[in-house]
Amino acid sequence: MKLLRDMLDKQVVDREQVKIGKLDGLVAELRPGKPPRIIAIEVGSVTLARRLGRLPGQWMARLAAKLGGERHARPHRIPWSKVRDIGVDIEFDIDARETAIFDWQDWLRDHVIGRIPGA
Amino acid sequence: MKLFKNCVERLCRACLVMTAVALAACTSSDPVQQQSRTVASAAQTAALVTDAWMAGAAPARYTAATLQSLAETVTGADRQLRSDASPEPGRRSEVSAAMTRLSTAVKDAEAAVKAGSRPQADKARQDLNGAMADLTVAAARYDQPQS
Amino acid sequence: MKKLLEISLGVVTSVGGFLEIGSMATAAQAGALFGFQLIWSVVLGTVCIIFLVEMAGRFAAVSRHTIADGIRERFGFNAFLWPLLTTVLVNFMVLSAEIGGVAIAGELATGISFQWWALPVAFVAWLLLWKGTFGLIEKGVSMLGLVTLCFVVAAVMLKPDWKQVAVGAAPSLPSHDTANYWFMAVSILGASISPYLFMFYSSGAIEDRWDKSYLGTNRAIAGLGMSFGGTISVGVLIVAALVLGAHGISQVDDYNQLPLMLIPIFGFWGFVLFVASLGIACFGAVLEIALQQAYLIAQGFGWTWGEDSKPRDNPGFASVYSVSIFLAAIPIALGLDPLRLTVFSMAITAASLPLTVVPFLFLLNDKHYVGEHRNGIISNIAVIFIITLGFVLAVVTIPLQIFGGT
Repeated sequence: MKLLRDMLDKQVVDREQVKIGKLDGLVAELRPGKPPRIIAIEVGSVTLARRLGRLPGQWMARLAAKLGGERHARPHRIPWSKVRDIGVDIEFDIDARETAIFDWQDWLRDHVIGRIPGA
Repeated sequence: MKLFKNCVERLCRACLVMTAVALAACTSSDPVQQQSRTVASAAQTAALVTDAWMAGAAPARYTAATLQSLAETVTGADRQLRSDASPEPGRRSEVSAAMTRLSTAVKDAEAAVKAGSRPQADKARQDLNGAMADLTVAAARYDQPQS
Repeated sequence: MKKLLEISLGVVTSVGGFLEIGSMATAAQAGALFGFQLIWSVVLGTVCIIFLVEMAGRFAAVSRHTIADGIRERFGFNAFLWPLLTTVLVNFMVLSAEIGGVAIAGELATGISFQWWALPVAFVAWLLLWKGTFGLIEKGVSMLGLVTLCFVVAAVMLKPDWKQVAVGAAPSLPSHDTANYWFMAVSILGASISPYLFMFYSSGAIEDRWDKSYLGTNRAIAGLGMSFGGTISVGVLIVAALVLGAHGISQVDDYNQLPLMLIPIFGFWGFVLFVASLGIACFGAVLEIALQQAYLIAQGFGWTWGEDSKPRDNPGFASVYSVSIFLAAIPIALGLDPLRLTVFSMAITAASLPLTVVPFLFLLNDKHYVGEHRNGIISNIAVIFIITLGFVLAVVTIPLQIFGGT
């Protein structure tokens, strides 16, 4: 499978070229008798931690849930059908602001960075 | 593949040799020699910085701070030497006496700079020269094989 | 014409940004104790960094990836974690040392102890990153860094025996202080071949939107900029040998000794020049390394990054450099001796090289990324040589660190 080599860890951007993360994981559907099919990609620290091992994955999920609420306990998924272009970056036809991926950056902006003069 | 293995082996051996050489070089140095070199270098620095101040090329505050730090280095080396158990206390004490004289001279120079007194600095500078010569002689005698 | 201007600006930037506390301190110590004998390690380090910087720039211009992007994408996240953690750690130590360098300049200029300078220095640097743009930081600060050329002027004014200088450019075995000799050689190499330098360069190429048409520019900047930079380091070494060494000052372990290099040559102005050189050069390095920490993390995890946009537009990126800069100021504020930290972190840098340089061998030979602009045989030999050198250094430094060294 060349897909794994070529796609994994590439930069992911939304339709306005905003960087939303790296392609941290791929979700495939196993089909009997046919090659597996990619149905979604995953982005975020939970997926990354899972790549290191089962335990780090569980720790990260617990940590993410504690910090950001239950919906951060599972990785952020973007359906593969939304993919628009694969070049230097992989572009998805979504708007990053509508996902929960940037929740922590938004929190940082609203509570820390934005409060410092000149930001 | 075999060639590669050979290379790696040779590389490892080279590293081991280098490490061994380095370790041998470290452990063989004598504490008295080591300390007298540190002190000699500090004393030369004190001479240079005092000269620079007398020539108006170094600010007083900087000169005084440097001399103070150098005096600490000399005193520290002297103290270390006295606390080390040495097989030949006689010869070592000569080195140590020179160091004590040196640290006094450096402190005098510091006081002179702080007071802004050139004649006093001149005097300290001469003491420094004398003490440095003492240290050179004492360290050389220490180096000589026992006769 | 525009290209020529760009090249000269790039060269000026690299020259102004080359010297920092690491190269200054290691060159001074080596010159004082061994005369011209260690010039070869400055030359060797400079040749290595020329190759690495050229490759980093070429990779960025052709593939539109920074080196950090490339490593993560090509080797996957798990493998990327190793160079990431090492570089972050090494950068942290070097950043701390550079803050210490500016703080020493502050102490020399005012008499107020360096500890008190650490946090104000961190604050001013942070403010510049917060409000400034990439161009301002890269060009403005490096331009000021040209004051470090005073070391070259001083070296020429001392009329060294150029034949001896040339002899020193060839490696030779020491006649005394063997352990110290190798430890200094390692530290000099670490000071010249800094990972932050080539990683920062590749991020800069992306920030400046380089494409294939910049390949020539890149080669010129890497070659000329780094050679001139190396010349300044050699200048420091020559001055240290002819001023400190000749006066019998063989051990430079007190930062107060450093200004004495220039005072006998330029008098009071020598003191001023030294303080200015140290302060400006280290301050520039503080900005670059803090930015590099943020680039590395942001690129590694795919966040938005860029020094030209406002902090509120990339909060993650801005947080990383803010936190790095203030954390790195803490050891200095607590009174850790900057000179010792410098020499120590330079040796660690050298030992960490294989982790950051091995990826070059793959990235610069991968058609996927660089297509026809792949490494030639000479570049590949250079990379393999640097990796081997780094490996040997890693094996040698650790025992030296424990038993000998400082």
